[in-house]
Amino acid sequence: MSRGFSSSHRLSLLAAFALAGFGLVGGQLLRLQVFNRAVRLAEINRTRDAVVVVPARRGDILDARGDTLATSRTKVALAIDPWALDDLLATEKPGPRQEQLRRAELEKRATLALLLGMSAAELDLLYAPVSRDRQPGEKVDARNLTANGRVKIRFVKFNDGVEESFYARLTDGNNYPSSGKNNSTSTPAAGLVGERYSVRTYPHGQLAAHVVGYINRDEHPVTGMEQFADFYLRGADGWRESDKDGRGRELAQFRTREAPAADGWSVMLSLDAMVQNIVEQELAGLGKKFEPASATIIVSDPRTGFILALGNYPTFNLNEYNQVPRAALASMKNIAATDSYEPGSVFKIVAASGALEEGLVTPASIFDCSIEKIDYAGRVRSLPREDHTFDHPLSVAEIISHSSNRGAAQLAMRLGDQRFYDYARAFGFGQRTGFPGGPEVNGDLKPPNKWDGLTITRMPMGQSVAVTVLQMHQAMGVIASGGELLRPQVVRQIRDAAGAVIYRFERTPVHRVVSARTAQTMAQLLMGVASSEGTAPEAAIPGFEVAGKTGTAQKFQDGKIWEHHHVASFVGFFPASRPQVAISVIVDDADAHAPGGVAYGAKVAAPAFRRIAEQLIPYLDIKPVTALSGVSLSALAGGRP
Amino acid sequence: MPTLVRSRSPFRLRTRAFIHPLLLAGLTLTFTGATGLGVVWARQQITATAVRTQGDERQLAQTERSLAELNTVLTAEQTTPMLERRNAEWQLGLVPPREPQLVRVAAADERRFAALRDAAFLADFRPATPVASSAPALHLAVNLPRR
Repeated sequence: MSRGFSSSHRLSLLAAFALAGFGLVGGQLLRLQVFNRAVRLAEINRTRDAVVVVPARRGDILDARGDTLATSRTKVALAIDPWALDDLLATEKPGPRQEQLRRAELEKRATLALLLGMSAAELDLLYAPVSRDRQPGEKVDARNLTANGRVKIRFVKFNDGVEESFYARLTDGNNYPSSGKNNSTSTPAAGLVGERYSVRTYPHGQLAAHVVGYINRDEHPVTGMEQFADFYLRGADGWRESDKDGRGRELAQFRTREAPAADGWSVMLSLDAMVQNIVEQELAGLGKKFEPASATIIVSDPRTGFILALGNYPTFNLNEYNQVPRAALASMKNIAATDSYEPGSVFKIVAASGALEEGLVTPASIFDCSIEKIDYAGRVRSLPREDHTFDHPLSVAEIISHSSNRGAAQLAMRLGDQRFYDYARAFGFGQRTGFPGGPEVNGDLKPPNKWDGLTITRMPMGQSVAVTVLQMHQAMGVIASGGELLRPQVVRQIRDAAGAVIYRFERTPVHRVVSARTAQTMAQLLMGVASSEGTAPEAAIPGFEVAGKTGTAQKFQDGKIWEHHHVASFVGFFPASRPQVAISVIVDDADAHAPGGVAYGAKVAAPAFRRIAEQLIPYLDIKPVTALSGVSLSALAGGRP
Repeated sequence: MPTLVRSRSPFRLRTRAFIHPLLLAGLTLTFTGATGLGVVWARQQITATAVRTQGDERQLAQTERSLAELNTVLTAEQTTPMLERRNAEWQLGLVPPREPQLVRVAAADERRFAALRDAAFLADFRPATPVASSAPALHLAVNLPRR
């Protein structure tokens, strides 16, 4: 080492430079880390910090056998970034390589058009560069600005959503000719942009539309189980704190805190897709044949109150809920719970059950149903007209099987105003059933202090009272269940994302209405309706005991009775001595195409009941029950057994 | 180290050489460098692992999405209207059974199957010829099936 080099002057100079350099660095550090710390930190946080939301998957809605009625999946909205080709070409210097790249991209674009089923010209239109004015104060990245200062539009949407598998095909480089830039690997056409979004899908379409309900595009539940069970279905989104790079991509190595998403739970309904399908096919058949204003069919297990099927006509497709025309919006209502009607003769079960339960009558008690007036509570009341003429006094069993209006009125009079009203309340009328899955009305059951002089003669035959189909079905369930009023239920289980049962819904009795003995007697009496002597032999099924009641009520609307418009109904269950299925068929205003121009319950609803029952017998393995234990119907009617 | 300081042994100089400043600096630099490189290597491994995990997550999410789509398609294919359409298209002529076609078996399945098995087993038996007309007929086994 020479002396000159090690002169203290030069060394000092070098040290001074080094020190000055260190000083500059230190000063800059001081400026950045101390004086401008807050500003810089905010900027860094803004540009680098990323909180990534991990969306939770909404739970499925399943039927009783695990068939999926509603599920979630993703779709991909397609768009074109018209500036993508320019960006790609900018990575190469102008020259033959750039030209080769351009040609390769144009070839890929032709392939993309082929995959999309579009013409090349149509796709070229989407690729035409577009821009917009820059808003005052708008911060725009330099690469998103055109030469004349406008903002490049990088998302030209042209498809609302394609399936994942199709999108995978569009983005698979193997489906495209090899790139000019790198011959070893193929890449998809530049500029194709996919935006994923979650969609709710209903694989069965319109099946059980009014029970399942739907969620709208904003993922807000609107009706049905989607709304009722939203708490279980929706789950909880997770999140992840991390950093992102200049292009907004997450830098996984900088993840700090993370809360995993909790997927929604699945809701298993008591509905059976097969039974529901039988019901909806029957409704479609009724709609085609009678063109009614509306119709409802409910099938349930009367032992538990669980509903196996609930269908309304008209209905709608859950996957196309937003395409229902304004004029047909009523088809989206669950009219089984939201609309009330005068039940007609089906309501006679209330007076008969009450009188039997109180021991005021026996099935063999005789009533003169030919009289037109009767003295009741110190006043003479006129009795309603009969639809049939009877040449002899009727027993209670015949009052039911022949559906005598005057007989029902006299049964109610035996009970008295208050007791009859109490029984009607106990059967569930005038109050909501508690059916989960949408709005429900109370119906209309006025207390005795609001009755006029004729109400005690008219209400027992189902006039001056308004009920929902669900209420009527629930009331018939009282007799089928052995005297208990059961809450109609549609949710069986709640299951977590792994399929484990979290909560199980059980049979829920509300209260006892009549004794088991009375219920059994009523079931026997109702068997007479579906016999050759009854009003609805059309409901009979050979080898099976069918119990039920017809109803044909004139429509009461806008304060007046509509003479030629009826609500036809048949509500029943079978096998009568060991009920397994209760079925309600209510058809509103089917007169125009009904035989004879009047839609009788026996002609319109009872055959539908039988058709459904016949299909359910093999499916639900319902075994025939030959005869009720004990006394025969003729014995109940006062004859010899 | 009192023994080394007090003694005049020839090892004293060697002991000093062992802690020579250059050697110390070299060791320190080596250690610092190794530590620095180790930290860099560890960070690189963390990054590589995180990126790999992210890729796996992405692939898992894609698989789940594909699975959801497939499940939806399968469910739609198994709906009753679709099955009925296929039944018509492929002319299978499948119809649900009607009550008259059903034969209901009242006996318990266990007893029924036991009776069927016994019937098959006893088919190999035949009654022996009575020795005398007054003797009771004996059911003797011939050609007993081997078990």
